[in-house]
Amino acid sequence: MSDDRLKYVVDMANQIALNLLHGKEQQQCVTEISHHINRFWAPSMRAQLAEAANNDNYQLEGMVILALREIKITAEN
Amino acid sequence: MINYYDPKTESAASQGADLSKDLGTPISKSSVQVSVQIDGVNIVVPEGTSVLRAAAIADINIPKLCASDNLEAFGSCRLCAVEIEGMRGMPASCTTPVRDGMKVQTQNANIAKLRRNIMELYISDHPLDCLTCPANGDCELQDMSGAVGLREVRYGFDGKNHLDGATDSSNPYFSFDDSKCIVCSRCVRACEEVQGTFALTVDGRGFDSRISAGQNQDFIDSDCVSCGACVQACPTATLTEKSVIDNGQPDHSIVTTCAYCGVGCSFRADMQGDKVLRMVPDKNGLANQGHSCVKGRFAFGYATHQDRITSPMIRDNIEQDWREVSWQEALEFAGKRLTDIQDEYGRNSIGAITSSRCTNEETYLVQKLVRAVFQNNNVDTCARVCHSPTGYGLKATLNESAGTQTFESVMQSDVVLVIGANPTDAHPVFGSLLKRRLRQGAKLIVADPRSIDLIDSPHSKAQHHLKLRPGTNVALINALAHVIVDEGLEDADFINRRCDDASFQQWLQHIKDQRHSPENTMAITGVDAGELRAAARLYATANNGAIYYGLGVTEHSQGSSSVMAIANLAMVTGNIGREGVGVNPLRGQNNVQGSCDMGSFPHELPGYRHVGEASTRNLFEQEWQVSLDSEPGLRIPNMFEAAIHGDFKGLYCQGEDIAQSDPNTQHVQKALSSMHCIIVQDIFLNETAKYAHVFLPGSSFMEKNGTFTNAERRISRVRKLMPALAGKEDWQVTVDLAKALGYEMNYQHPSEIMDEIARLTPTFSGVSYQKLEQLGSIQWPCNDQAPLGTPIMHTENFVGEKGKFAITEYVATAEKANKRFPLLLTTGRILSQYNVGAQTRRTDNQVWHDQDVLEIHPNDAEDRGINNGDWVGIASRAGTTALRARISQRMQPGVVYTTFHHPLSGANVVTTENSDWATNCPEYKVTAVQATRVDEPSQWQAEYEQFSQRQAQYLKNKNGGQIAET
Repeated sequence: MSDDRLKYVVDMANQIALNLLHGKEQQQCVTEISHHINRFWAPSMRAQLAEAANNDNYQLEGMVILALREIKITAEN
Repeated sequence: MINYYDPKTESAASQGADLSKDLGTPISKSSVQVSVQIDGVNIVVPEGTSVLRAAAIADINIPKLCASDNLEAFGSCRLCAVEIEGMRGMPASCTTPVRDGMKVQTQNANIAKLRRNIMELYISDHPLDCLTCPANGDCELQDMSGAVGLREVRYGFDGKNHLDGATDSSNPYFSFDDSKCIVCSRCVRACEEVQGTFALTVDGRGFDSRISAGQNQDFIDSDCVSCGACVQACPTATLTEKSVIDNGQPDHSIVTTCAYCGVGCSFRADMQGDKVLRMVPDKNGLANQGHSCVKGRFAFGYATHQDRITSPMIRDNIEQDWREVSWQEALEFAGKRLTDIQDEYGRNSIGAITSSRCTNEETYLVQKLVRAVFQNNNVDTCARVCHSPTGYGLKATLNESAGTQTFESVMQSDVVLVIGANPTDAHPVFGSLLKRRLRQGAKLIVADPRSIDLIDSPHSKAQHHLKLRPGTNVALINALAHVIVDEGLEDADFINRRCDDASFQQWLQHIKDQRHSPENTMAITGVDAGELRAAARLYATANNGAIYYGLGVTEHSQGSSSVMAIANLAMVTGNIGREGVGVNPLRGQNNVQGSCDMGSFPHELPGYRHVGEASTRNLFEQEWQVSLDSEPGLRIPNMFEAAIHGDFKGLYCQGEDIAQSDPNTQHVQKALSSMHCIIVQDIFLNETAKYAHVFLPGSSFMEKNGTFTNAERRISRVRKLMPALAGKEDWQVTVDLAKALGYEMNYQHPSEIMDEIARLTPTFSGVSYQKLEQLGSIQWPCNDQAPLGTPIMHTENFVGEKGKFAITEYVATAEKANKRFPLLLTTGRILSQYNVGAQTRRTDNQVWHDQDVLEIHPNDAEDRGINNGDWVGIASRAGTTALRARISQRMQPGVVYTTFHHPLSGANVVTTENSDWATNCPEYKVTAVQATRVDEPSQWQAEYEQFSQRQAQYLKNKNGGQIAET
């Protein structure tokens, strides 16, 4: 897995969080972020996000890290 | 007694009434009915109806020349003179409104004599060359001469006349023959009243009166926008299509739907055999109501252009000659390649892209192919790069991914807010309708970084131009909403009745914060706080306030937030659910709405239902007899990323040119070059096809049956005008590709595909070709609850629930101007070209725009020593290209603009991969660039030209020529 690819999903997830974290309680933000990613992202991209979360080279927003608990990570077919 | 029945009422029109007959003057919308007697026939009509129209409704046809029911009565020809009991003389029936109890005589010896005398005068100054005249058989002057029984011209033809009038052939599509002009002024009035351009005038007085384009200019040099309204209005051969002059009169006509923008105009294709002579806007078409633009009216020649490829081709790699093969060989080749890829790289390694230029039935089949045969959800559509934020934003707030109104609705708007749209260029027929409403007195607010034409049109000016900085839409719309709640201008009743209270309260707390005030956002948007407050008040206090928006809203890193902010604005002011209001996305291409409706997004089945919904999936599984993937697939940019990293290897691309239209061209090229099998189905060897291994020849909209759905959700028939040049309609090719992959799709006609869509999609359950034939067009939802369709959405509720306010915080784009890239580039469209230009570049529309240019403010040009016409290098973080400069006051300092209609321009070499946070719609509207004077095209342009030349050679060699040098 190349760095570019993980950076791509990390940037996307962080951007989602930046746009959803305003004017709400933390749990609502976390739920909205995870709901969005579960609803719109292919499993392969969600898996990459999980991989990036375990890699110190990538800076995930705090809300994304919290949302990861609610993001469905499934094995690729 | 004949009870008044005007087919232009909504109910009659929706039932497919024929509006073709010219009733002479426009409809009166008075609710007061009056009774008149015409030639002894009693008739009841609305007060204000002209005698001419009332008579025509009763099928009493009074001769006329200067009158037409799409123009205000003028009364110049006097041919429609009648006698009215109690009135002196013979008044013109077109300018005389009916009165209750009026008795009208339309025919007697005196009237007949007067009409003959009038015609005699006209004919005395008109060439008597009817037999060789291009309008022979389609000339109102000829018809009226016959109708009044003119038998001689007593004045002779030796006196002073206009028979030696010159012909202006400067326009590529029509000519103006002054010798045949009767100065009835219909062309002038059509240009004013229908098109709203005011390019024509009557120059001179009395006998010297002549029709003039501009200031005695040729048509091509005047302000004429070649919409064709004048040609359509002309009752003689003065203004005639060159195609008719060259070929003669059509022998039959077929009504179909335009394949250009999202207005979805209905056209009558006038034909000779299977050759289209001209496209005439159809009066029965409810989207365009008999009007057209230069593209739909005239730019259809691409369909038979010599560049059309009509045989399938294959090759093993993209640096090989193409090899022309049979359909069977091409489809087997494609099928085997896709199968091999899935065997080696997994089932998610291939996908497809549908096109908004294809029909509903075709896009439905492509997504079916992906889901049922590829066994994944890797299907996306070009709406990804234009209006995907509309789908997301309107679903999140109004609970339906579509605009709320008809186009006609704007005629009841009091205030119109246009955000990030340029209707007179990109949606010209709607632009004309809007301008007509503005001339009637509606107020206009424009939010746009550029000074678009609407801001200062003939006889209408915007009350407010909010000239914001690119990328700050959300801050601006939030500020408008802030003013509305801050000044108590919200519609509390509407909010209480129609909207979700919890979401409103949360949004209210958010938007009331002072950081959203115009005074505080001024530093972000660049818009004066006082002007913005005044605009907010104007919109909020309108009886009917409507919002129209375009790609200037969606193609941003916050495109979805902007759409939701717009929906918030409409809900907080109660401007939803009736005529004259609403949220109206102006869709870029003809079938953007339809391609989205048909399940082209990777997370949604047709009807915007998520692939994760088991009950919906089961419906499709039973119909298609397969099991379906419950997880979303890859979006287009995700496909590119996966391709570059070796996971995505095969693509079926129908009717879309991603190599030219998608951002960061070099990134796209890298992705395309990484794939093992690209199948392009198109009518031309487009830019994407240069990276393809299989070329399946497509069919233009003239060669197939189907439906398009326009921006009003209006489903209209596309009818086959001629045989498919390649032998197959596009839907048949997809069926055959499925078969090559081992899956049978059994359809004999696209109507059967629509029947399947209706079976599976609740919002389409009442749609059928039979009903479309009856009604002309249908706006979805069309089902048991709305069997005739739904012109206005959300009249009672928001699709079963309440409207939801969404919090839309302004988040600045990551794309920042700095010392290295100090300008912001924004991209867009112009009137004469369309999208990637594949169609319009192959027409005479090239005379207006044969290259993309960089518009730049005089200050920025001066700072850089740039003059008009200079080559300008445009560098961004993504790449560099070069264009000719056009210095323009339309720009604000610090902002430059270009279009992307020509491949070698490389406009998208410069745009970046930044995209909307929710949908990945590219941020085409904001790219930080530097512009510098250069001497030649960029390196990318030089290399791409070489690549294109090689590809052209590979195409030339398709029948076994030599491999070109590389």
